[in-house]
Amino acid sequence: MTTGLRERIAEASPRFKARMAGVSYLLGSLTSVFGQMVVLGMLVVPASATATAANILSHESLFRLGFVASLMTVPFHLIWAVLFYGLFKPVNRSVSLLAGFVMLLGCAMWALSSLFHLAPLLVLQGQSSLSAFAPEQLQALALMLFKMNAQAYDIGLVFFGFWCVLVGYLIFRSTFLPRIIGVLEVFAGLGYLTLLWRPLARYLYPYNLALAGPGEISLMLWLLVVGVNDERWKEQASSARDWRS
Amino acid sequence: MHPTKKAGRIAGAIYASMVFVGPFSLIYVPNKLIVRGDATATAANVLAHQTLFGFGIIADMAGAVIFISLAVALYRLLSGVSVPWALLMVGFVSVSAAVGFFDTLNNIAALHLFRGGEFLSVFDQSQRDSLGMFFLRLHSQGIFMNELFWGLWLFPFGLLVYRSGFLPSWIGVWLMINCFAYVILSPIALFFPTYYGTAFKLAQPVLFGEIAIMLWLLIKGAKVPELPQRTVASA
Repeated sequence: MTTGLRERIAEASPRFKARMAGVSYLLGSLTSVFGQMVVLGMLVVPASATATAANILSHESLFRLGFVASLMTVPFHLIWAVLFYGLFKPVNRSVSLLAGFVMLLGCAMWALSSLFHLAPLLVLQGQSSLSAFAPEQLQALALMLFKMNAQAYDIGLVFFGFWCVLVGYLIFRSTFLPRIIGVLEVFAGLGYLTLLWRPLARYLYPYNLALAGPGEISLMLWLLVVGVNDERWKEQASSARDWRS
Repeated sequence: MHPTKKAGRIAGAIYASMVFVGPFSLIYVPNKLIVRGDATATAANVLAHQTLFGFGIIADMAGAVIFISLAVALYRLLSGVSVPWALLMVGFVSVSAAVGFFDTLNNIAALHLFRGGEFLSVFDQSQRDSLGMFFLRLHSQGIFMNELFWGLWLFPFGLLVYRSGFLPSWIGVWLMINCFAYVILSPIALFFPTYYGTAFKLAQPVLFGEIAIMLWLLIKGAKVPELPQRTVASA
C-alpha cells in the first residue's frame, strides 16, 4: 500500500525531472556568475583598497544584489543535486550518492563564503563602532574580507569540480544521455580541480575555467531542450532493479 | 504504538527541544551582553559574563545538532511520501546547520579579541574592542543570512505534510507560507534593518506554522488509521 502511494507520487517522468534539473542548473549558474564574477569583477579593484571601498559605497544596491545572487545560487545547486541524484541512481547508486554529498559540501562552502561577501559592507559602513581604526585600515580590512570570499568560493568550486567529474562518469555510463557530454563534463571538472593548487590555477588561467564552458553549457542545453530519453531511462532503471534483487 | 505515529512523536520531541536553546542564544544572551554601538561596554559585559557567553556559543552549536537530528527524524517520517522532496528538505537543513556551526566561530573570535592575549597586544584596547564588536555583528548578520535557509526547508517539509495523508494538510499549507515569510525577512534584516521589527510583527501569525506542526507531532503524532481511505480518495 505504501509502496503504491510512493510509486504514484514519484511518477513525474524522467524527462520532466531532467528539464527541471536543467532549469535549476541554468539559474544556479547565472546567479553564481553574476554574483561572484560580474558584480565583484566590476566593483573590486584587487590592487587598491581605497578604490574598492569607493566603488562599493557608491554602488551599494548593485553590491547587495550581487550578494543576494551569490547566496541564491546555493538553493538552486541543492535542487539540481537532488534531481541529478534521482536521475543517475539507476546508473550507479553509490556514485550518485557520493556526487550528492560532494555538492552538499560545496553548497555549505558557498553559503559560508556569502558571509565574507557581506562583511566588507559592515566594515565600510560601521563607522561608529569601528572608529578606533583609520579609514585606510578599514578599507584594507574590507579588501581582505573580499579576498577571503573569493578563496572560500574557489574552495566551493573545487568540490563542484569533483561533482562534475563524478557526473561526467555517470553520463558516460548511462544509456539515456550522449556520451560525449560526459567526456566534456569530466574535462570541465578537471578545469575546476586546478583551483586546488593556486599557482597552477593562476598559470593556466583563464584556460582552466574556459575548459568548463563546453561541458557545462552542452549538458545544460541538452537537459533544457532534449531532456533525457524516457524509454532508455526506464530500461536502465528496471535493469538496475533486476540486478539488485 | 504504530511506527509512523512513533516516528511523528520522536520528531515532535526533537522539535520541541529547540525551545531550550534557540531563545537562549538568539535573544537572551545578546540582549544581556551586547550594547548597540558601544564596543567598550559590550567588551566589558562579555568579559564579566564569560560563562554566559560561552553557554551561548554551546547553545548555538547544540541548536545546529538538534536541527540535523530533526531533519533525520522527519526524513524517516516523510520519505515514504516523496524521496526527492525529503532529500531536498534534508539538504537545506544541512547547509543551514553548517552555516550555524561556522557562525559560532565569529563569537569565539570576538571573545579572543576582548580577552586580548599577548600576541594581540600590538593593537590598542579600543581597536581590539571594536574589532571584537565587528565579529559580534558579523555573527548576527550570519543568523539573519541563515534565516533564508530556515525558511527554505519549510517548503519541502510543508509539501510533504500536505501530501502525507497522515498529517493535517492545512498545517502543510501554513508551513509553505511560513517558508516565504523567512525568505522575505532575511534580506529585510540584512539591508533594511529599520523595517525588520515591523516586518517580523506582521509575519508573526505566519511564523506560528512551525509551532503548530511541532505541537501536532508532539501531541497527536500521526493519524495512521486514515491512511488507506485517503489513498483511495486521492487516486
